Amino acid sequence: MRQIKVHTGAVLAAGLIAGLAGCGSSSGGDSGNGPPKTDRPTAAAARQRQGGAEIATVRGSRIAVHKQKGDGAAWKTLSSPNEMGATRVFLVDVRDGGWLKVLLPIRPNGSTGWVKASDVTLSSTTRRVEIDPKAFSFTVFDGDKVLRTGKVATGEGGTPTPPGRFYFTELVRPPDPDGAYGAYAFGLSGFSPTLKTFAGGPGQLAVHGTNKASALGGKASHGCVRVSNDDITWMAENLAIGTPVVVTK
Amino acid sequence: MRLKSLITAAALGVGLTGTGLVAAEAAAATPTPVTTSPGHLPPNHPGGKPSGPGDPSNPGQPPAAAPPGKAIPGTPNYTG
Repeated sequence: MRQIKVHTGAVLAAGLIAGLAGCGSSSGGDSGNGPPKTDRPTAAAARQRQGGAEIATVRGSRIAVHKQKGDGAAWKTLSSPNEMGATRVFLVDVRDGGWLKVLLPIRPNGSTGWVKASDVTLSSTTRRVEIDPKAFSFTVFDGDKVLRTGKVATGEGGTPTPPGRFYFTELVRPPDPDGAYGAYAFGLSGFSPTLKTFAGGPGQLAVHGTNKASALGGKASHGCVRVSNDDITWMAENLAIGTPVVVTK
Repeated sequence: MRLKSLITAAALGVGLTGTGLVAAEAAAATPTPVTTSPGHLPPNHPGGKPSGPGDPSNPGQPPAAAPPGKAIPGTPNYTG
């Protein structure tokens, strides 16, 4: 009986050693012990072709953002949750070793910075939203497949909706679904080019519902992209925070 | 005398059994790397970093699909 117990302990110890060895070979992936580097560009290229994107969710209560990867001092420190109370996320632009180049939700639109991969958790999405201001329409894609399309209202002349690549920074449910923001509002990582502040906020853009469906199909907003309440509700139920949103020229 | 020897042997056996039990428990108690969510293990725990999808320290695994966003109740202050 004694010998069996000791043997069990030896087997467990051997299994532990083997497990730790395997973990050690994979946990140092970003330092070169992971999969061969030749595999990484292939995987990234495949995701690009499928229109996929990676979303970086901040771990902890703040994250250091650097101008260049490998910089010692941080260029900015962003809090999590963000100003709207949502866990901070970024859309990943480039992966390079233990660093990620990410889109930043700051002015000017399209700003990027570098964060350490170990400071975030990665997830992915194959879905994206494209806004066509000329056609006053939106299309939600899953790879190459069209999931949904509908009408939008964009910014009026003095408060245009700027073109660019953005992402959903948070999802807010207004207290009154029959109000100006409709049933839901997805904050965007971009800002109005003309409004520095609005309603006490920093002039942040959004994709949101509306209580003026008749205005869809034209220029009516202060820069936000308005969609019907049915469409924003569908988006809220099917799109992740961090989903890319492209506003074409 | 014989009884004494038997008692001694039994005591020794119990002691050695206890040692084996302790060794087995010590081995079993040593954490083994498992796939967990980030909240379950400290990030600097040896082998404790989540090794599942989405873990930057395991780039061979594709990140897991992000679920639909969770709505925060509140009054937006977007440009509208």
